Amino acid sequence: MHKRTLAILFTGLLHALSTYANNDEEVSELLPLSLEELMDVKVSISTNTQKTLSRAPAVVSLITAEDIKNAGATNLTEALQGVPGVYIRTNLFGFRPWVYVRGSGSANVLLMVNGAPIKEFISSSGQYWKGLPVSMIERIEIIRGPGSALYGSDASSGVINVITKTAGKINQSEAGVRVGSFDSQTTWLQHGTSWNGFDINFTAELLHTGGNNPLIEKDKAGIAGRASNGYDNADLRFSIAQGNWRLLADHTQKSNLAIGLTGGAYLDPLTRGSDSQTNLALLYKNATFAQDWGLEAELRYRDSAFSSGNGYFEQPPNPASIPYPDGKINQQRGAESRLNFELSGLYTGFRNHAIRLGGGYVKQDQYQVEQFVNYLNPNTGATLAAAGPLLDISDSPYAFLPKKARTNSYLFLQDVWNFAADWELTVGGRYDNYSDFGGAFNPRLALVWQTTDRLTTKLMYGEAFRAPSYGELYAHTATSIPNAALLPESSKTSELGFSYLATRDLKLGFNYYQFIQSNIIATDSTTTYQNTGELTSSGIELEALWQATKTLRLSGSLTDRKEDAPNVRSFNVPKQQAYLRADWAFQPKWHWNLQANWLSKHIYSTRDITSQPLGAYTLADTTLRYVHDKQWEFSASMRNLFDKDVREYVPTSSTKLPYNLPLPRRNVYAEIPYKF
Amino acid sequence: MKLFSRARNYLLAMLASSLLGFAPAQAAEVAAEASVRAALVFNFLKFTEWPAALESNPHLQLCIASSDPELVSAMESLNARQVHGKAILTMTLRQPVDCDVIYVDSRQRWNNISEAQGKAHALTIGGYAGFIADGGVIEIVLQEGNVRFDINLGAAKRTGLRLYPQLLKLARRIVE
Repeated sequence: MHKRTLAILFTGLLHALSTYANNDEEVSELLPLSLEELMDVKVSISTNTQKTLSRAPAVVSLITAEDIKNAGATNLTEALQGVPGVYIRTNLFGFRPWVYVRGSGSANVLLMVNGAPIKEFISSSGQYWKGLPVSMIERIEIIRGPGSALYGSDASSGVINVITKTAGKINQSEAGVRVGSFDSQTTWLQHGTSWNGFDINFTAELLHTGGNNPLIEKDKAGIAGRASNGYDNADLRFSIAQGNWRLLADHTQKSNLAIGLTGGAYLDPLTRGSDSQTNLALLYKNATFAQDWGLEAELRYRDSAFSSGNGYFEQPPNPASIPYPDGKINQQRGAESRLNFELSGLYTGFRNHAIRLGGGYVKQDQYQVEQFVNYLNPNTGATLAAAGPLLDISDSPYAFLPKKARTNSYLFLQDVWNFAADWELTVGGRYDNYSDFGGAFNPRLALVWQTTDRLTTKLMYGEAFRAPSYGELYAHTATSIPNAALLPESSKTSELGFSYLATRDLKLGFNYYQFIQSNIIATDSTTTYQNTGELTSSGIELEALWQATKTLRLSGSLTDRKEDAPNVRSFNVPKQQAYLRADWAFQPKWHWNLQANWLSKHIYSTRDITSQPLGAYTLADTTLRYVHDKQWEFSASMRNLFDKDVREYVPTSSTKLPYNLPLPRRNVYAEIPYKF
Repeated sequence: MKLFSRARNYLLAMLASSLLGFAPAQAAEVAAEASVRAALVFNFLKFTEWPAALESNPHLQLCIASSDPELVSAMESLNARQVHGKAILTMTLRQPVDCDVIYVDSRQRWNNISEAQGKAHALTIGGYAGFIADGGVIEIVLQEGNVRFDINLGAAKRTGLRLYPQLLKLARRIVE
């Protein structure tokens, strides 16, 4: 049996090697095709596909829809797991998957959809952030490092821009279903067409998941139970384009969302939250607006709302300390609007220069705040001695937020100067003025040198900032006291990067960075938000992509990070990560993917106490995909292949969740998309 | 351990099925990016008409401005093939030459191409995002794993080229 196994392996290898046709042969096969037929040919993943990316004035990664399908990712956060230095950290409240880049939390990562930040006033990515479904994603662009010189606040350790399938990009229809573990069902429908000179596109995805509902051995009240975390999600997007104009309208809504655990680490069987975002964007882009001028204009409006449903179960009843038979109940509702206008021009009238300049205005308004609790006196804010009915504290000073608005205006200028044949210098900066804390200027400098035909060298420097969040400025929560005098967090990043095409099938990347954060906002010993100290972190990122044969691609990365201040918030994010991925088109219509993510142990800050240290672990996933023809395909995935019991660390866990937060065990998915 | 052996069996089963299911080469539905780009360039040449003044020229000079060896090799395989009764002559853009077609894969290289090399007279094809905004004629884009192209009709007219309707019809986007 073993001999036969070897023979099979060996023949397979030979088969793979022999199919490595040279270009000449392949081009000859393609030339007889008509232009239409050629446009139907799938482009295989090439070592050099992202070649232009290697010259971008930043450390950039790109994830295509194809990459997502091949790796069986069903959510944005799963798709991001293969990016060097990206860590998805599950949050206690609502199991929200925060995206960390280079060890820094989601507050320092700017997450955008079609160029618009999704961050809300009171939370990083929406009250009940669950990532984003992938069926409507065309590609994901990731910058590791600063981006405030172009994008403004939050772009300190990374910028992630999700590009969705919009008008003019797909000209067919697709319907699909996916079913899987945890009582999960997804259906989607997409349609792209042209009508009277307009390109129109529509995508819709509906998801229901019952949640993995992990067993919490002991919550803060010492109670054992399942933390329910199921929810329903609807993602609807419409776009229409004609000439230089593009209109995008989308609506996303989560409902029946069980948060599982409150921020205070109590099991919460009560909450059935919902939140929604509605976006409207009118975009104008004219690359040849006037001689040497390109022009872009954007008008965007967003409305977001959330409701905690029956309310958060802030504390269970306890005859000794919490004399409320129903426990402490906290119902919240909120809504905000965001209006943004931006105008920018690209001037190419000076030889070897591309100058982009522009400016914009943002108004964010928390126009609705409603809160009902059964434990506070709305007039005095004092805790009630005994349980009462739910009382309206919406307009009292004790509500979770005051109604406030913030405006931000900004100007930016960037010059990309091609000053010698193989040299490109990017110099830029952006000035932001906020109505609450004042101004911030963030410069950017990048030198890209095409050292040889195979080697690109980059030397970069950038500054970035993060405006204090609304919560940090004004919101009283169970665990924090606000501070209206906060200054923005700021950061300085220096980077040295090499991108090397060792052979035409092997691409290597190396980056070194130093990331100095100051005025970091964190709670002090009285749980009040303050601008605390500095954190210097430095790290390396190694990446390799090897097209071993025409059908087999291996890729991987290794990252390591050092930090000098043990008490700063992200200290316990794993410092070393390794990622390995194999993509093997072992038969013409088949694709097999295997990926493994290794994370080093969590290191605790000196403030944290834990009885359950978390060691290093590896999570592996596999996906098999079969593309029958232009219409049908099928894929099946298994995530957490070896059914590891992996946990996310909860700060000061021994006083909150002594056994930390369990992550999903092995789960499987199968999907069938159909194009027509 | 049990899980591991299960996974190994699974792997072996897949390998075995890969072998047993081995079928003769099928029609190429998937091809290397460089090859597809080269074939696309060849198609563009078929659907382009150069000004009459260039009619007497026995060759179509295809200049390749790229530092991607795979792409250069794929483009070079177009050498000596016939379009409009003329043989394609490929060359990399090192010395000043009068190009009829230029394929360029970065803004940096585009900016470095001089007028003498034919920038103003050639069918210019770009493989980087923003090429038509930089005044190029055709920009090749990858979209969901397929090739697509955008056309700057104004640039084509200034160059004196005529692009056939077959080509315009299939363009993803046309700007004037």
